[in-house]
Amino acid sequence: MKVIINRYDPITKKKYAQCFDVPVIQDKKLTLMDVLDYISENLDSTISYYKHSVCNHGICGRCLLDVNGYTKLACLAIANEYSELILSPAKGRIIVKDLVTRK
Amino acid sequence: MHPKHNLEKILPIDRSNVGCLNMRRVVSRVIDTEILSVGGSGAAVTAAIYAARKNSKVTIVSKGKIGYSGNIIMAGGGFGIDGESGKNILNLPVANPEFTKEKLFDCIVKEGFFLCDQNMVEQYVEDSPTIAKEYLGWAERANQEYYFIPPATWIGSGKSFSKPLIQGLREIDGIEILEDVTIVELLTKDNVITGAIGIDIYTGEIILFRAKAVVIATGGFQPFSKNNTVSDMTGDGVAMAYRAGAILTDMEFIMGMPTALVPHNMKGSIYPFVFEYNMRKLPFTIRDNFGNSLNIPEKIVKLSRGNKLSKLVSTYYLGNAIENGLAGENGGLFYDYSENSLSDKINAFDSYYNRFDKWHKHGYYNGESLDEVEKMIYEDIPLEVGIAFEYSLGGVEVNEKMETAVKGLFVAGEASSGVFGACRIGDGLTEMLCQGMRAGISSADYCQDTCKIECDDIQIEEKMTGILKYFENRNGKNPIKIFKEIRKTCDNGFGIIRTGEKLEKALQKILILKEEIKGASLDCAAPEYNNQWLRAIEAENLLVCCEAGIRAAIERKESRGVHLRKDFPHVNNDEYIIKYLFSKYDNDMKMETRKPKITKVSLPIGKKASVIEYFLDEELNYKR
Repeated sequence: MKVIINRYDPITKKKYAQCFDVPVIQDKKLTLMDVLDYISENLDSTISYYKHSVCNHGICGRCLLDVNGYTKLACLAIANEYSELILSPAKGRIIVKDLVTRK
Repeated sequence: MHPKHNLEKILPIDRSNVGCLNMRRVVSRVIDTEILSVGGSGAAVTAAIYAARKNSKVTIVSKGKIGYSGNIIMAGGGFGIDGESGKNILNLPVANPEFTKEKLFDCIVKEGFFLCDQNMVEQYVEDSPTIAKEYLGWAERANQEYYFIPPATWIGSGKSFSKPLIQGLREIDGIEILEDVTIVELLTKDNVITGAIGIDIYTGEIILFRAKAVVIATGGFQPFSKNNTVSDMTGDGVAMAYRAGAILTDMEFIMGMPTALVPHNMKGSIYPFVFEYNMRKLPFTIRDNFGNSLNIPEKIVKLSRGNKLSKLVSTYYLGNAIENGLAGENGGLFYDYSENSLSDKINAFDSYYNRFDKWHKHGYYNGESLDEVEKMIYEDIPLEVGIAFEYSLGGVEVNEKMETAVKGLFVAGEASSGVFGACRIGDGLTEMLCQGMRAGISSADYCQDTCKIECDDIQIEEKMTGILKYFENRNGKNPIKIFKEIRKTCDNGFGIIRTGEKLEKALQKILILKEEIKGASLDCAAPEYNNQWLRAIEAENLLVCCEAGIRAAIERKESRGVHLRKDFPHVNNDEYIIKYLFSKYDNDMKMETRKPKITKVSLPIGKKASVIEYFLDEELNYKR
């Protein structure tokens, strides 16, 4: 699956897009958190996404991000439901780095 | 070119000092306080509230959001106290007074395989009614409702348990709150606390805290790939306390429980245990990958099914089946509900939702839809369930005042050790609340009689070098890969069913990773939300916990509680009612042993064939 991440570098203050290829088996549902973990562990460890104090089950509501134009929680949204993923920082929030935002 | 640490970001001053890295100048903020309560869950919040009530200046620092950081939000059961206090202190007519304080004490000691420090059990039993009454007041004012079951237990959801903590904090003035800040090192002088160093996770800024006392309430450690905790259970507080001079005990005991493996997107959900606990009229058979029943004796099923002893029983039977190659493709066994009629299933789900719709959207458990799970149960498709880890019994050694071997350092909740010994059937929530309360009171008393000691500049420099070294290191391993290797190593060698050979192999690998993490380097120079940097610090902490846990597991040549040895399946009361203690000695880990502290119940002798036989022994006279 093609995954495009709209990133932000706080040093240069530049936004840029990066494309990753993530293997997805259709009958094994992956959450977006699984996809981001895969990228971080196998493709590019510099990507930042909510990983501290997260519950992974839609309880804490911290892992908000924009998925193909819609705001979702990374731990609940199912990657297999998309043919291509465009992940961006959640709208209306201050961007800290890549997909991490704050109020 | 390797990125250089962006010092300008956290060193907004004289650039000419960059070469010699004057660490005091890398500090962005200095916060002066009396008591620093570290954590975002029940123990840290109650400690902060009770210390502030005694007029101490308190700062609470949470790695995430207060109330939403730490394991309280993951709770699927409840918390309880003895029924006698439920009736007499909380004035609950429905509480069962026959379950007295003495009975609760007796149960905890026996459930802990006699490894509990009995002074800690007494503190739990004696203090829990007071804090339960207080906490239920916060809950009422936060509009939270629980489901009450005798003798005196309150069932709720993670969120319903976290909201009263936020309410409690709202009701008291003067507590300084810092969120999304991780404390990474403690500061001491001559074995007395002087403060701590933290990192603002979003900005990467370094904060120096100067304090008379620190309460560590940061939870336990989970080094396994299958777990059902929040992501922060990396043993941060436990390892920091160890580096500061505290003693660690019971590190070999990590509790597992039945946890979802399917649907794959719900892996880590505790719905299988929540169903078992709350749908007791819906029996199931556990089958292996070939469809054969695990043949758990009926008397064991009767003793444990639907109550918390089932966590140990499931860990034992599922763990052995997994070890014997009988697991499914996801590493679990299969819960088969097909013996129930359609109407039994409908009634069970109706009754479940009747209870749980109070806290969860109908058809959901937490944020996840149960549609697919229900469909599988209705269509008699077995659910693959694994054993995932939820709670560390080990941690920092404390006494009944939550004091440690370091003056001014207090530890409460899962980060401590001693109450539950080798197996926890009692409530982690009650533990965090009653220990947090006690740590708050004790730390405030300590501060009243103590003068603040200046931080040691040389120590600050040393600690800062350690924290920032990853930005300076070159060509080292990626910390995120090291973290993954820790999990793989622990899955293979320190997991559910252990052997001496596997443990030795795991220890060797952990020692290699311990060296590798020191030289680990980052691919990104930005200090802002730098996942690699945070993971490096967490990995260093987790490795301390793993080393202690594995060393103790190697020494403990028996099975006890949740420590299950294939090569030593028996419970050996003659030789192993001892605790393994770990302390820092130069750069090595020093190990000692001691007997658990005894206040009421004497220790048994003899051997039992297994941890299951231990519970079936009539002489034990165990009845919760």
